[in-house]
Amino acid sequence: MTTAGSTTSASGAAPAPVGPPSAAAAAPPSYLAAQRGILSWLFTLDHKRIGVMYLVSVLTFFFIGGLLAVVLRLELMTAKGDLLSADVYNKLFTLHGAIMIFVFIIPSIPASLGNILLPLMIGAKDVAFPRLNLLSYWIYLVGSIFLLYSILAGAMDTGWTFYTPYSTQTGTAVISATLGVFILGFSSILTGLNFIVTIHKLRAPGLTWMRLPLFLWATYATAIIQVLATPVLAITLLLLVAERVLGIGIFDPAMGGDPVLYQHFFWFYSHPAVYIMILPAFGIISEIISVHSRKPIFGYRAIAFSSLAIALLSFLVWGHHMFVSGQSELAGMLFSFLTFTVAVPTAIKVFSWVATLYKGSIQLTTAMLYALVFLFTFTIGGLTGLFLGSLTTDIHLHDTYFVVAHFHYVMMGGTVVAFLGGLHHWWPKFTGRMFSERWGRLGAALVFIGFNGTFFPQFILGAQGMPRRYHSYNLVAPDQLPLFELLHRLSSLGSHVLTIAFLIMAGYLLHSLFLGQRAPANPWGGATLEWQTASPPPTQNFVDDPVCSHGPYDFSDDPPATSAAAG
Amino acid sequence: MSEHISKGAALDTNVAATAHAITPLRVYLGVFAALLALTGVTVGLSYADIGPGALYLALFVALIKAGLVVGYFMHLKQDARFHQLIFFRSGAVLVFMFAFTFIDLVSRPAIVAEQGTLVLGQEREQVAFEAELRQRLSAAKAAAQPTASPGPSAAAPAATPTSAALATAPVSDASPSPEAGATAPRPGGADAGTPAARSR
Amino acid sequence: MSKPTGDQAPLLQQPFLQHHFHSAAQQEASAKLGMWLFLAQELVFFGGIFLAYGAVRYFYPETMLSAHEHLSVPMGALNTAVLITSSLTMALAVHAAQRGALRALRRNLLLTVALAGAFLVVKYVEYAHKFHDGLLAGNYLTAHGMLDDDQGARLQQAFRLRASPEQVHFRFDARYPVTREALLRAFGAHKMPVRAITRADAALTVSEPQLAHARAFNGALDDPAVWGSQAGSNTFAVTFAGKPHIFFGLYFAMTALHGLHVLIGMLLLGWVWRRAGRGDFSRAYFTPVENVGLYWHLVDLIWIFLFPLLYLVR
Repeated sequence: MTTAGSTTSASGAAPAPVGPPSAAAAAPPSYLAAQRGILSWLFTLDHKRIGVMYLVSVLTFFFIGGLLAVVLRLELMTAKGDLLSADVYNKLFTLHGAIMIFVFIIPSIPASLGNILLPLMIGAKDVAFPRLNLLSYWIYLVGSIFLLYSILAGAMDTGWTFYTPYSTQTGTAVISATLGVFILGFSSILTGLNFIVTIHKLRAPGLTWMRLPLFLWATYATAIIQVLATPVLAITLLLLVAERVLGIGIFDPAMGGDPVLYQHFFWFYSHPAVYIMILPAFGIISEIISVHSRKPIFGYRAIAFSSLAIALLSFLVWGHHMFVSGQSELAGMLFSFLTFTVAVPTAIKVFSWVATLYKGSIQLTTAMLYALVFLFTFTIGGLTGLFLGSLTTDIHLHDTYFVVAHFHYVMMGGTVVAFLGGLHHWWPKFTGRMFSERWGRLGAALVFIGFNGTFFPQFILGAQGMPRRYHSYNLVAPDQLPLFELLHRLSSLGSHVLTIAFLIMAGYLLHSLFLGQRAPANPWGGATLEWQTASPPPTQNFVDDPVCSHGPYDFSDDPPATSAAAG
Repeated sequence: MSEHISKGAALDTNVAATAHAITPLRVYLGVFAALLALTGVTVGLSYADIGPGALYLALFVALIKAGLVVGYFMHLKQDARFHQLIFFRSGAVLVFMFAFTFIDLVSRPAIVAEQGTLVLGQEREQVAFEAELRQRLSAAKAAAQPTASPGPSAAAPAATPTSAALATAPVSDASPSPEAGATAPRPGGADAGTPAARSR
Repeated sequence: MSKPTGDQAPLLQQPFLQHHFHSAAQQEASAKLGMWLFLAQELVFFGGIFLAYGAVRYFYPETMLSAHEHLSVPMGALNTAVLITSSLTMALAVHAAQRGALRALRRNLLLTVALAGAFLVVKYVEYAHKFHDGLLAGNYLTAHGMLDDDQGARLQQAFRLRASPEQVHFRFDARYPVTREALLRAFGAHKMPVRAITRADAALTVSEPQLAHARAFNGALDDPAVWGSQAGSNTFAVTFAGKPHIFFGLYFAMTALHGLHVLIGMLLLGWVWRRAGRGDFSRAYFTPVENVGLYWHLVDLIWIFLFPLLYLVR
């Protein structure tokens, strides 16, 4: 680390030799090869290595959370609760939710892909605060260990929302889990803080705000939410722990408190958190669609500012989670109205993407396939959100599988699919290897089939009245039982297809890691700065300090894209 | 080829805004004196009996003090515009948080009274408000059920015991206490002391 | 890209400059922007607990009025003055750093730490008083310290137990006959509003967890000879008015969170003081002093709101 640091400050200090800096020396080693050994990873200050560590951790937790989901789906294949007891089922879905939300999806795109890409995209050597960046990863690890410890300590059965008064009374391991989430929040705050400063202060010369790649606009908007909303989660969880340990009585009605107040607290963070999850996904889609259809993005400013608009509006809509919680009608109406306004900037984005595709030279690469899947599933997810955002229909649909289907369409069909798209898009840049496009396309197709197979039946289930969080449903609506069983089985079948898709993906990605073709610097012909350095980049990112001379989607004076297909 | 080529030019303009114009010593001392004086004002006001406006007055004074600290001690007044924006943006977040939560809390009693689920704010006129609503409801039901409970009227003046009221605080010897004030009036009555939890 | 703009000194002579920044000015601007973002995050964090306070105050205004009487206004005012003064010394420290007056910088930093320590000492005295009185958060509120009125220490020899959010059971040693009136006088003298006092010699049923809790809690008073003897013992169920347990829960939550920030601030100030002594700072570079200063003023800022809201409720 120190050697790397001193060489740069030296090279940065010497102003004279501008012209032929790297001609004499051979190309510097890539960040992957620069140092060896586990400690060189754990104590690295290199944003790319920290990003890779995040990526590995996040994917591990995705695997654990996914495994839990598969078990849950297995239980639901039959109407009776024969695989798991109700108690275990409650704990498993709580864990599934908590792991997926707090340790997978919130850090997924910003902390892993964002960490690697942000300095590359702005032509900087690192993020503004590299040590803070490492600290944030360590905090993330400690937080997830707390959360995992709660499994050993008997797990918890409150649902990932920790609603009072149940969470103050249940005998399960609520405290270690809430402390874990509390700690994870710090990691998120620090990441966001770091990103905002980096984007503001470390942009390369010539990289004006209006030349910023849209992924960074999205990351920037996300970071605003991370910094300004996450502290509320921290104080909420502290108060919850105080309530449980000391019996303060703010949230527990038996002690004079107000459980709906807890929900205000919780959703004040957790609704904006939904945008922490989806905004970076929007950014990835903007990048992929533009690069792989060889066309400047349609409505650059509209997409950029709609990200900021979503970040601002996201603070004003939390009450739509509480329509049937005993919130006042007046508040319900206000929140319902404001909820609909979020649809406007979101729709602006979707229309812009579609307009970008129009008459573009679309290349159906794996990444592009994921972007198209995203357009399909996210639109369904977003539109069904309107059903839930309107007061009357929500009363029918609240706490049914319709809600489950809706947020999985947004979170998985949106964020996870975009995450996978981004992973494939930048995989050559991260690893220096090409993966098999043929297997990649197969994987994307299976994800599409499996995902819709899993979650589309759940819309019908919910509309027919199947409540969520039930481990058996033979007594829910006896006359509907055949239908419920059929749809649940379809859904479980879909989850198996998804499992196969992920196994295939793991297979070809691991294969490419060791045996894949060497990747060129710019396999897709992207115009943003990260494609102008080697794949994988050297520790200092760029041999010469880059200067930005054109917009992020200006493909005009680019060399023609090198052929991408691997096989 | 743009004028941004020179290294970090755009960045350094931002720095120029934060450049240290050293604040003269007397400004610090003046602010310090003002802060102490305003603290005295708040304490003094708290002894003067000026009714329910006292809270807002105290908050107003606190805001002025906060403004002095932020503006002069923290130099925000002459700091970069973006730092000011961050500060006020976080303030705006708080304003939204308070405003929307209180919109709910203030407009909620009607639901509370109708459903009889939450017993909150039992110490204020809200109780009377709820009791009135409940009486209307029970009056509407009276036709069907003639056995209306006499409870609410007895409890309506809801004990608001302050230190002054202590002398009149009822002291009961019997085990089954007739203290209606101890638990707020509720129509359900089954679990009188503990409002039903509605979490989901 | 000709040459790095900014400072007079060549880059290699600026040991504080990290490799990924181009100039000292850029590094400083980044650090300050980061600090302001951190402060924004802190504001929202404390804003959350102020919202809890606001809601409780809205639900139970009378409780706020009656319970806050147990907080000492002189102590609170003293601490306000201490913190404001420490803010001044902190500002003077930054002022000294700007002028490159390193000795004045160290002196003012030390003064600030000392004032922060003074704040915590006063806070400790207040906390000790609350613990002695039994005016604690939530389940731990018994208010047993109020029972030293006319019967002196004897009344305090009570086995106490919280039975419900509002109710505390006191069982006195059978050898000291206690009357309801004595209890009422004792609480009344300390402005602890009581809604009802019930003599409940035999009627008290206590669950096993409550008993275990009370045993752990009463410490030396856990004498089966006293608690276990049913015959002739005096047991009273005291129902406090309002929700003092919520008020003191909030009081402790808010002041402890703030106190934690004071403690962290002391550590940071000590760190900066040490670096100042090591000669890390100069007129060209003193960003850590500025940033710790910003943090410290924020701690002061929070207290400026805490003080009137908790201590001066009228």
